[in-house]
Amino acid sequence: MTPLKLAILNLSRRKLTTVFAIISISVSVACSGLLLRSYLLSSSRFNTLGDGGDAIVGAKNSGIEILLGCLNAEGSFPDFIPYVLFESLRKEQAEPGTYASTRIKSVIPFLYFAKYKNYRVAGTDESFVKRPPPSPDINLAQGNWAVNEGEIVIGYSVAQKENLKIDDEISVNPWLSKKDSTADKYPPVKMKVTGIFDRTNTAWDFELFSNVKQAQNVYRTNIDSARISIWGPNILHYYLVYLDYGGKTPFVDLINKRTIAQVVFVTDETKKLRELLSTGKNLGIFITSMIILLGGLVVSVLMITRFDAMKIQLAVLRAIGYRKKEIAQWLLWEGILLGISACIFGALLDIAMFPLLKGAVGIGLPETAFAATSIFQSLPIWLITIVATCIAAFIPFIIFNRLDIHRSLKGL
Amino acid sequence: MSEDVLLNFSKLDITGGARLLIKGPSGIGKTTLLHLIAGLFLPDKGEVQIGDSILNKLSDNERSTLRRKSVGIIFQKLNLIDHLTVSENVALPLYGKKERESKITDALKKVNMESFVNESSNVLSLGEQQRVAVARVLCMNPDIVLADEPTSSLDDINAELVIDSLINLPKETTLITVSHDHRIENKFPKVLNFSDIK
Repeated sequence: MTPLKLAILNLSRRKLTTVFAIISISVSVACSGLLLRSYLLSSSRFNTLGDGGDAIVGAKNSGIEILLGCLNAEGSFPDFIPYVLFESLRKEQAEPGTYASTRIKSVIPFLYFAKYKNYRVAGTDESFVKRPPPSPDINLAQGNWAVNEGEIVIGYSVAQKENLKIDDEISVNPWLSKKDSTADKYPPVKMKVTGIFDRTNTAWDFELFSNVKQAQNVYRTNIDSARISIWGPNILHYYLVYLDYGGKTPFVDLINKRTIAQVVFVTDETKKLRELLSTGKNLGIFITSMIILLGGLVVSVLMITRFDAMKIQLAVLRAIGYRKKEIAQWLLWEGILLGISACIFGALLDIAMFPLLKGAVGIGLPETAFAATSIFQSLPIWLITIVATCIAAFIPFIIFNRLDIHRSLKGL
Repeated sequence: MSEDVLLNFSKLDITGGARLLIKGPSGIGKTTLLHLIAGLFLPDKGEVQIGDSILNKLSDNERSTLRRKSVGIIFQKLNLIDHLTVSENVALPLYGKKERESKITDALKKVNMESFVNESSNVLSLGEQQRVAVARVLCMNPDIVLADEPTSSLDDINAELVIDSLINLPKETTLITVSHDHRIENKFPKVLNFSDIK
């Protein structure tokens, strides 16, 4: 009988211990996989953050939330800032000799107002497309910017995934407050696609854009002004700012005079986010190692117990001609089979649990719509698990290697 | 003989094709002698030779190969792997051998166990286990059969059945049986008292 067959029979005939071992390792695999995938998803933010200039002004909140809410379409519905704040800065920019005219290169308005399926729709203006040098423009692959009401420009991936073309008419669902989770309580707004952006490989590819007037009109039409904010529909969520050399400190002073808004610097917040993730990564590696070690120990304990009880039977096998190498192969096969089975069940558990984890973590993880996640990201965990179970299977072999066949058979 | 010395004898020659019964009281070293012949352990002094092979000079792997090819062992007890079926236990030494199924069936028939072929071995009585162990050796067709109290758990009918199947092994097969079962003495042309060897 081959070692593989012996392993299969030993595992399949001792169902209870096998099932418990597989469950224990599966849970380890699933937990480790979830940790790894969460980390990778979290790290993917740095690849998908849109170009937001030097600073973002938003309602008072944590810097990272402003950064991710604006540049990565993450988190819940943001608070408002008054449009006048943006307007006054733009006006000042046009007046020669003022701080804004010399130190601010561009100010870009940004107001979420609807959703198309799960994609966010924002109101902005042409400054979103034409960036100040040396930042590259966001080019339109086809069509024109949405100058008029009822017009919309769509991100590259939205066009690809939803098979949208220029002149197509789409309906967007107003998304106007934190409570609008389903975004279907207002009448949909029909809009005509006038442009499709080039691929940016950022969150912008998964968004749609119209002008600010259109966005504010959706608020005006659907909600009683008093209920929106104290500024009525004259609001924004953010504005993005490109600063010239030396513009940082005076800009902070300028914004901080207004207690309703907060400025965050893109580089600083990205750095903070990286530091936060790095801590999470180290902790994740530590916990993953512990979990896998635990899984390996479970296999070891199982196999030591199982083979200890089979000491005399192993001696019988040796006596009828089985070589040590074949017994080792038998144990190795058991480790491999346990490892593979546990990886399959662990992967299924991982697939089932990941949406729950995402839901529980909330804004801690980016939207999977544009930050790709795949079960195969857990592949390193599976390989480590199979190696760990094989190593664990060898521990009883070390014990068995010292087995005295004659004494075992005589029950000495 | 000191306490640490298991066996002590000057020379024991067994010719090929012999049917030898070694008898003696319990605890005298009969099982140890069989294990020594099988190469399950090596003597501190002297040597064990099977055909042209001197076991002392063989590696552990080579001794295993020799046992697999040429030596069939029937243990007194604890013969079977308990989670395997009867046929799987019989198939254990047939590593890579052809005509497995017919060999298994033939061997089980000889010990009157063919109806137990798919039974789990842990539900068998001690006597049935003993017969399966004999079948395992019969299907190997080895050059030497070492049987340690092969009839100790069997009733008269099954004891005769088992011992007949062993005695009727091909004539070139050497059968060495150790037993203190008086029922089988008359089946063997040559009976040695263990004390005579020593």
